[in-house]
Amino acid sequence: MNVARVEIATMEPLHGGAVRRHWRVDARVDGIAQSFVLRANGLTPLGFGLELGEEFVLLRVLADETIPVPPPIAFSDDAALVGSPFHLTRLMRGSADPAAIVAAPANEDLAVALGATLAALHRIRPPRAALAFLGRAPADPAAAARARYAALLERTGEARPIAAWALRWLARHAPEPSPPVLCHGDFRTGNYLADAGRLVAILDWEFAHWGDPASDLAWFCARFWRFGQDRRAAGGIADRAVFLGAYEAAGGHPVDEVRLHYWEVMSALKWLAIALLQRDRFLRGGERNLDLALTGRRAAECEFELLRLMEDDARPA
Amino acid sequence: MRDPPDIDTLLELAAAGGDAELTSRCRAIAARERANGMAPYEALGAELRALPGGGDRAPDLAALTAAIVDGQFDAAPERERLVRFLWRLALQKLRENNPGFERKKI
Repeated sequence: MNVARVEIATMEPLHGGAVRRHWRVDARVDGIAQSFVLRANGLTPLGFGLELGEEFVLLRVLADETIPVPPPIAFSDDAALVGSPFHLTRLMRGSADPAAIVAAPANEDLAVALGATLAALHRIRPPRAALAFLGRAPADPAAAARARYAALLERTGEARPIAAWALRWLARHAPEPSPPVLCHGDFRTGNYLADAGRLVAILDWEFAHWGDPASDLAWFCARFWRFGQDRRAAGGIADRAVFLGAYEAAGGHPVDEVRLHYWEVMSALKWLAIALLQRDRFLRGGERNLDLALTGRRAAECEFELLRLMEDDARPA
Repeated sequence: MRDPPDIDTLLELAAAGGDAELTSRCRAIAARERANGMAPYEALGAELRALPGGGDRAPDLAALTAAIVDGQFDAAPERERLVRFLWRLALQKLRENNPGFERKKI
């Protein structure tokens, strides 16, 4: 963005986003009032995911592909303003508040729009020179995911027999490798903007990677991201069939229920690993934050889901 | 076997102020843990010691985890014994941390 003069009028912290910090910035750009979202690193690092500069490049690629994202404006690696590098995107209308989204009546139109958007994203395949920072696409995305989450769990330094048992299950039930596509990595209710029930933009791309398309579908449908609307399996907003049907109808990869179930188990393992790493930002990183600390106690939900998904009939009365 | 941070740490954080819903969750977890005491975990510990790799002298989740990774539970009947133990462990923790998660039909 080439401008002659930028005057920041206000800069207000925005809530939401467990990994990064956000501010609303109201400014006058060449005398014209404009609003932006400034996104910077969290106070303590999670320890994996894209850097802000990489995420900014990804947003530009996605915008060119007409994936609905907040229009990227600028990136700065100058930590003087907010204590970390940051990028600016244009402020868009709508809310990402999951409680508000799932509190509304079931919204099939929103589920259809999300399914179609995911299908468009999954048409982006490696290699892409502009996305070289994503690394070489794995030949076996499931094996790569198992290795990634095993390594993240190892970092917690805790003995977690249910996670170990899940990794055995995932190794035994591994599907045939699927050609990798661009995956969002955290595609769920809470990470998109909706306005008056309509999709505005997909947010929070720091976990984007080359992977199995079923991983995004399973993550979106995982129970954790229904926010209490458990009967609406598609992100707490609609039936799963609506979302998956829209995905396929928009040219997404054919949905294989066995593969999807596999990635549902992987999703529970992934959330377990992330929840523990979030907790460790408090336990080890020293960030005094009740939300982060309590996230560690959500491990019990993840382990319950892992056991239920692996063998529901084994559950004792 | 309870997951960290321990409840005293959580209550200390909650006492410093902050989100009412999070504070309320902390207090509810504390009430459930105090009502249960350590008895459920002592019973789980006894069950754990009876499993291959469960600990010779004291219950040892690390040794159990290593035994799982080593494939010692891949076949019956050890597999069923392990799964029963894992369920009891998961349910005990879930019922203290978020009992509603178990009760809700899906």
